[in-house]
Amino acid sequence: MLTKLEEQVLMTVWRFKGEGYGVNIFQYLEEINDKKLTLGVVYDILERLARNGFVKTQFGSPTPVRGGMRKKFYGITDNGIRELIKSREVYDRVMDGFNELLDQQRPEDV
Amino acid sequence: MSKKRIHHPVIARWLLTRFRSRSNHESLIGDFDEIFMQIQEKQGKLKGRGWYWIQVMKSIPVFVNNSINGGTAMFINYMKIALRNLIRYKSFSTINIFGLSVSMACAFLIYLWIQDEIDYDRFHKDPVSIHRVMIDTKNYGIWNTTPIPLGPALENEFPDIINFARIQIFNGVFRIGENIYRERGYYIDPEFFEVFSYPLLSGDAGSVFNQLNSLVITEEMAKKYFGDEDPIGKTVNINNRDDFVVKGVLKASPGNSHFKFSFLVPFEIFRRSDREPDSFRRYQILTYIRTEQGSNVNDIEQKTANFLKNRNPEVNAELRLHPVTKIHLYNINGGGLITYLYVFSIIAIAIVVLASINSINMSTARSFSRAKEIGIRKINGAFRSDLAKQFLGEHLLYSFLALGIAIAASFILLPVFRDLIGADIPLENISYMDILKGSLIIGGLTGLISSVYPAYFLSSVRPLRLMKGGCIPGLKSDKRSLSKNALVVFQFAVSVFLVISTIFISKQVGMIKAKNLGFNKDNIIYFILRGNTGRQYESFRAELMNRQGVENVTIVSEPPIEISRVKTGWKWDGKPADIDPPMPHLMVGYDFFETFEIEFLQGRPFSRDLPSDAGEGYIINETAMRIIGDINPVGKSFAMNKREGWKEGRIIGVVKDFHFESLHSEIKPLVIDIYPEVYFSCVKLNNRDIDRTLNSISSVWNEFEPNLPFSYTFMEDYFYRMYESEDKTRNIMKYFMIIAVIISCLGLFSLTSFSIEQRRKEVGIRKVLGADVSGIIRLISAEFMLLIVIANGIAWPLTFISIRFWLRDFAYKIGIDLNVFFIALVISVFIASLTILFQVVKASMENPVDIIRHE
Repeated sequence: MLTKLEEQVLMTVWRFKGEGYGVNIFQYLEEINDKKLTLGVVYDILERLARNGFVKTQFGSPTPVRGGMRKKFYGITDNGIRELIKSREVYDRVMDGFNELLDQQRPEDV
Repeated sequence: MSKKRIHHPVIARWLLTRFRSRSNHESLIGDFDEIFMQIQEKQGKLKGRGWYWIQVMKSIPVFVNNSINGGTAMFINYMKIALRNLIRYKSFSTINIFGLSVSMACAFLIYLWIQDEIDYDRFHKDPVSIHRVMIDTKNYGIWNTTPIPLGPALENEFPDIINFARIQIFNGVFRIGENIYRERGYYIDPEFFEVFSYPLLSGDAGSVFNQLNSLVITEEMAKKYFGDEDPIGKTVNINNRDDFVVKGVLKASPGNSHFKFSFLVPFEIFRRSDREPDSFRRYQILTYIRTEQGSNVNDIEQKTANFLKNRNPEVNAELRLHPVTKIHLYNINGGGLITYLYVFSIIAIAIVVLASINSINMSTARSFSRAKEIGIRKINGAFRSDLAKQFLGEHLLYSFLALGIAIAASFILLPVFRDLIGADIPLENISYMDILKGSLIIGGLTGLISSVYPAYFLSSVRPLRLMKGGCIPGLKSDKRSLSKNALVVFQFAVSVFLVISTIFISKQVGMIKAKNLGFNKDNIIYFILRGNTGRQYESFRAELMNRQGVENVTIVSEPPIEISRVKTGWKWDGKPADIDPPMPHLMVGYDFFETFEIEFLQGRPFSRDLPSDAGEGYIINETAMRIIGDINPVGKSFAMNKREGWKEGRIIGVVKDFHFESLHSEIKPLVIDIYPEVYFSCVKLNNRDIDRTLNSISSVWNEFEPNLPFSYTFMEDYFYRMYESEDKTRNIMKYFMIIAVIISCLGLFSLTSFSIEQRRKEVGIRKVLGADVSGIIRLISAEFMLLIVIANGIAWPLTFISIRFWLRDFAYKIGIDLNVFFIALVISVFIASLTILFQVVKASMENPVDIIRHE
């Protein structure tokens, strides 16, 4: 079962369609979460996902902008998609009836 | 942007990579750097840097928690467990760490000492190219003194030799106002400053010796004589004879050196004062050469070996080169300080090993109580390597803890150690790098030695059996127990070795000190006659004889306990033509034999009443009589070959052999005749109030020679100084022995308590079945006593061989008495029983009900 952050990372990897690497994944995550994150945490998750076979990695070619350091690109695998589907199903079940409930009891500022 | 140099936070980046596997470094750093650069561009350098550091610091815990081998997180757990164990088993931790720190303090002190000793003469530029020229005389050993013209001749003849410096010792008496100082100085060639790296504080090395009356003094001497004044240009009188002008001041020596001097004067003065300054026959000065950098010393030695023979075919001597860096460590005729450095480092290592063995034994013995911990770790998936790492870490913790204590202790003990070793180990010469290096070597090695076995053994146990039995199976009976016993045997073998060696060394030194030398050295002072005391010797002597407390006064050419003058070219009645035995030659005054109480075998001593004695009387010793091969030599003619011709004479007496050299060598044949010029004076004092007598001798000296200081040496002191290194060895051995015995006993103590802990139930059951206390004590002690006996058995032959080897250096030596070995056996068994007795008795006295009921 994926944790919430794992879902986010995996979804982001998918979103970038194989163009995602440390920096843009991290910055996108900070954006959607609207808070500062720790880069190390993102790496940790990416690595775990890779270990479980949900993402695959590929080195790009060295560019002078990064001082010759290659980028490591992440792409989602079929297993990763299946895992996201499972997460999505759970999410849907959890969120079932959300709107009705909100109508009955809505906080004033929302 | 891309053109601008980017300064990444290097340290942060390095930290980052410590926690990631290598394959990830590139993309990881690339990503960090990319974001860093973006932030830097937008928000400035400081912000960027701050972000980088915060990110790294925050990321590290994440990496650590998830790194593949569980590294740091487990490490913290290991340390926690190690500290818990340390605190829980207080007595064993204390024994362990105490033993380790004592042994490490020993090792550390020895390390500091060795660092100091091997540092000698290394401060010169390219020190390996500097050599002292020596002469192998074949028959009389190797000499370090050389002919005056040797240096320049070598430089001319051999292109590999680029420079030379000649040195002759010059002991000078300086007078500054009322004060008289005796200083040691050298006559040196100006090239001295090129061969050796002695920087001048003031004055120019190229020109300081342009005038013959130039003088260069050390910084220290300049301070002593002139205080804060500028010494350059000051005139100083040496030996009440010549005036010298200070032309230069030497900086304090940058390192240890075998040179000991406080002033330098031109060698030319000495050369001019010599009778035959161009003779290659007389070996009297020191010659140092500097060879071309990187040239092969053996080649040069081969080329120059026959140098003397080529000048004079009669001479059978060869030149040898002694590297300047070895002068302090190696004696020219073999042996030297280096032997002691080796011996003591081996002993220091042995003691560290002893303490490490305690550590090993204790941690394996403790594995009983840790069996469950190990089992659980294994069941939870710890690999063998993880456990091994844990034990390694634990022992490193212990050893570095001990190291801290040891370093503190060594600094406290350093003054004591200095006295013991007789070497001045100045702390300011020791660099922190050396200390750090030494600590890491000693601490790391100790940790490794003491942990390899437990790490290997404890990690090998099977968890299931462990959990079931609650103890490590087979710990007592099989090969595991064998190796534990082997370690105890080793400890005691080393201790026994040191005990026996110390006894023998003490016996040998005692024997030498008590040995009847054939003359009486007690209460005799000797001093060099100088100035008027020498010129007016007879009246000086008469004045001394008048003083109370003076029993006799005589003169000698050399103190009769170390005669170095050896001559060939003797002639006597019936001497075979083909032999020319070298015989030491001593020249004495009339009262020599009375003063030293030397007994006569035949004939009579020299007499003032027979003027012919002075010109033609010879007295020989027993050994010389045997060489001459005549049992009644008195009255026979005898002659000595002198530079001005044969000095013909007769033998007037034969003295009993006396030891005129150190007891390292056998008594040699000796020829004694009357000395026309005077040099050393020996004064025999009586036992009463020696201080007052010395004062009154000093006042007589001042009457005759007020310009020179009176200084004397007791013959006994001189005598004991010849055995200084043996004395030193004995003292150090004594301490090492005590430490080794204590450490071994500590080990035995903790081991018995563990072993008894295991056997409590066995003891209980035995008692229930009717065994009595003494039977149980015997049962448990017997096992340990057997180990001690085996240790003795192993140590004896080794000790025997090494003591034989050490005694080889002495012509007069003690026999290797087997009783000493048995004494060592008794001592070791006694100490071992004392150590274990308390534990054993306690165990055997316990009420069996308490123990067995527990189940």
